[in-house]
Amino acid sequence: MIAGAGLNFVRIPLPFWAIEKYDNEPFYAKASWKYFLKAIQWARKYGLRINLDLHALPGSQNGWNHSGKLHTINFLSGVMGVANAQRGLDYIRVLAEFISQPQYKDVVPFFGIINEPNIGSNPQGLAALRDL
Amino acid sequence: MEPFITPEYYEEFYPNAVDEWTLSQQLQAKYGNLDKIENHYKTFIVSLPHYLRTLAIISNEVQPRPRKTSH
Repeated sequence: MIAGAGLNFVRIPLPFWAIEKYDNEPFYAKASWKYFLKAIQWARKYGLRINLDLHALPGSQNGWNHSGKLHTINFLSGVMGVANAQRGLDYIRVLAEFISQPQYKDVVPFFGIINEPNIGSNPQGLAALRDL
Repeated sequence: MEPFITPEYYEEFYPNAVDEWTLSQQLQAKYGNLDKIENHYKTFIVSLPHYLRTLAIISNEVQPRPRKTSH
């Protein structure tokens, strides 16, 4: 049905708490990971590929509700902004290493490392983001 | 979980839940667990065709199926 519709990629957003969370964060950690694994199986079954999308990074990279936390941008910005970005880099590495494994790399050939970063006019943050 | 995709989870805590952070806090305070989020995953991501259909609904490509009125 999907192939018939001409679709070949599915974009799957994951939050950082699919991997882990800190004690002071209220999120339901690690739950979405098992559904991501299921999605990989389904993609295989239906001949689709996955565009993996890291949609929510520590501290919130854009202050929008789909980053997990509305209003405050605390990624490469504000107190703990650099620490949150470093933590975000760790999660990017975890995901990149995971999907690079031989059994996954053909199903997940695409990885958006950060969704819609918006750190305003902070020049140091912008430079760091471009480096990223 | 975004409010506009899963309003049924947010309505219960309107206007105090505005993102997954505050939704999780409200759920934890009221129920002492986050089982409702697990339930969301369990029922929302049932198969890839369902997922694609949801994407199509979001992008206004197709009309949603009529919703059940009772929970």
